Parts: sequence; C-alpha cells; structure tokens
Amino acid sequence: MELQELKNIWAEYDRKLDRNLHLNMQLLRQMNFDKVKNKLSKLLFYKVIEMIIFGSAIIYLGRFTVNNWSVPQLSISAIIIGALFMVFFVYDIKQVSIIIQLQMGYSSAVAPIQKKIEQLKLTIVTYVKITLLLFPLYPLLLLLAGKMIFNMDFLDSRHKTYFLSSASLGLVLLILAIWFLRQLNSKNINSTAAKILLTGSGWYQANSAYKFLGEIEKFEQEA
Amino acid sequence: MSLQANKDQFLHLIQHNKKLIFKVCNTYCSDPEDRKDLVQEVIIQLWRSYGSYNDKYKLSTWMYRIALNTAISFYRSDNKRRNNTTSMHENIIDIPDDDNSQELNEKIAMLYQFIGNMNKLDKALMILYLDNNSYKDMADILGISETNVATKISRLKQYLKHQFVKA
Repeated sequence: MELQELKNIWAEYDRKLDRNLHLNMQLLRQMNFDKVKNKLSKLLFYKVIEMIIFGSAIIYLGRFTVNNWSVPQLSISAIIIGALFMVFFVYDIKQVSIIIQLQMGYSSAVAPIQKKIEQLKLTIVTYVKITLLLFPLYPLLLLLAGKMIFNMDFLDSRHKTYFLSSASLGLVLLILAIWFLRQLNSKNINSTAAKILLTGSGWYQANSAYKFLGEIEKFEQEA
Repeated sequence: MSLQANKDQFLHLIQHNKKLIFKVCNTYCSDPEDRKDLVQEVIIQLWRSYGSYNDKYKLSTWMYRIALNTAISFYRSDNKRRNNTTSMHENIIDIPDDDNSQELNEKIAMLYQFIGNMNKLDKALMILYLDNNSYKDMADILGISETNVATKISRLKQYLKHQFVKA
C-alpha cells in the first residue's frame, strides 16, 4: 500500500466522521463542570504543609544544636535528623515547583509537560525511599524527643539499657534499610525477592516513569 | 461574560471539534468503556483550561495539546482515572455502525492497530500527520523542532508502509 493511499483512507474516514459522528449534547450538558477539581491542588496543599512542618523543625533543631553544643550525643543527633529533614525540605521545594508548573494545565506542549509529570513521579518515589531512613534513626529521635519534651536523658544509668537495645535494633534496621534501598535498582527488578518487597512501594510506577522519561528525551533529541 | 454564556460557548466549541477529540481518544484507547471515560476526561481538561486560552496559539494547537496530554497521562494512570469522571451508560461522542463502508472500516481498524503498536509520543505525531497539520504546527503541539518532526515522520511513514505490506 502506498502512503498516499494511507492518507486517502484517513481522509475518507474523516469525511465519514463528518457525516456520522454524533455528539450527545444532553449528556454533555449533564456533566458537572463546576465540580471539577484539580488533583494537583490537593497535592500542592499537602506539600506546602510538609514544607512548613519541615522548615519549622529544621529551625528548631538548629537552635537545639546550638544550645546543646557541649552535649555531643544531643547535638550530633540533632544535626543528623536536621540534615535528613533538610533533604525532605529540598525535595518538597522540587515537587512544589513542578506542581506549580503543571497547574497551568495541559495546554503546554506535549513532550515538555509529560517530562514534568514523570519527573514529579520520580521525585515522589525518591521521597518515599528517603523516608525509609527515618526508621533506623528512631533511637536518635527517641534521644531528642526525650530531651525536648520531657527533659529526660536516655543515656543516664536508668534508661541506658533501654536506649542501647533501641540503638541495636536501630542498627539492624539501618542494615535492612540500606539493603532494601540497594534492591531498588533496575538490575534487581525482576528477582522474586525484589518483587515481593517492592509491591505497593511505588517502584514499578517509578520504573515505568523512568522508562517513559527516557522515551521523551529520545523523542526530543533524535533529529 | 456570564458563566452560562461561557459554558454555551464551550459546548459549541466541543460540538465543532468533536472529531479531533474522537480521533485522539480512539487512538489511545481501544477499549470502548475506557474510551468513554477518556472522552469525558478530555472535555473536563478542556473546560479547566478554557478560561486561560492563549490566542497566540491556534485553537486547534490548544485542543490537540490538551487532548494528547490527557490521553497520554490517562493511559498510564488507569487506577486513578475513574475518580474524576462520572459513570455514563452512553457515549458523549459516538459513531453509529455504518455497514455501507465495511471496507473502509477494515482499513481504518488496521491503521489504528498499527498506530496502536507505536509508542505514546509517536502515536501523537502520527495522528497530527494524518490530520494534515503542518510541520510547524506539529512542532508547536509536541514541543520539538520542525527538523525533528520531519525526521520522525519519515521514519514513521516507513514503519507504516512496512506494516501494510506485511499485512
């Protein structure tokens, strides 16, 4: 079949649509356009709230570090947790910036807007992955919360055993978290263990987002 | 302008461009039920952007961008898509069976099948090409250069030709 014939088929199809295509106006009028909500607005709201929370926590931890500079177990714990919160804060800024660009709607050119959508998905999944690191760090959170809320020192002789057992568990969780994060790469994606571990983690969505991002970049560059 | 007048104008716009919406949705959704949802979603997205339509772009460029962006995103998020749409028993845009053009129907089905095998972005390019858009318009809609459009179109034409010869 020649290409011109292909275009002729499409043109004939176009004429057929002109003759037969029917728009159900009654159904269209029944659609409740006023209730249309932008899902991105909701996500933006949550992200702004997160930014406020993390921003305040970083400032508070900064002041706490200065005030407890002479107590290394507290100041170092505050710096580690503060650094992690800072990473969350930066990722929130990144997401908010993409969401604001996407909120302009789908009227932007196809390749750039699809790229932004995929980047947003990847950022969200990375954010979830970083959250995993909070679990093994819970002994540090315990130490800080004890001091901040109850003015209690978990390293004194009364609580030392409890704290040390928490720290040991934290160490095990840290090893598990590192192992888990190492599983989150495309080389391991087809192993049964990875499939069991990753169900519901968003990794598959991220993987397909990453793949599509590659397709978009190829589409944009290939000339 | 009142909201009602605005809405009437919008419905008029949909009436005049139903073919564009139908073709895009038909290309990205082979399942009739999914297609019903996609048509609805495209109309919703068009309404959302209607107030901010920028007349420095052609109306068709604006419509293609929204329809294609919605179809590509919808295609990849089927678990969430039904949240935004209302379940409908009938199609908003429909084409009655036309037995007089059986041969055309077969050829079109085959063409849709070949386009269906392309990746999401190539599909978009193919619809734009078949709809006789200029290279400049295609570049505007897709956000790539005209040279890039020309190269890709030539490859896609070869691909389609090959597919039809095989079939």
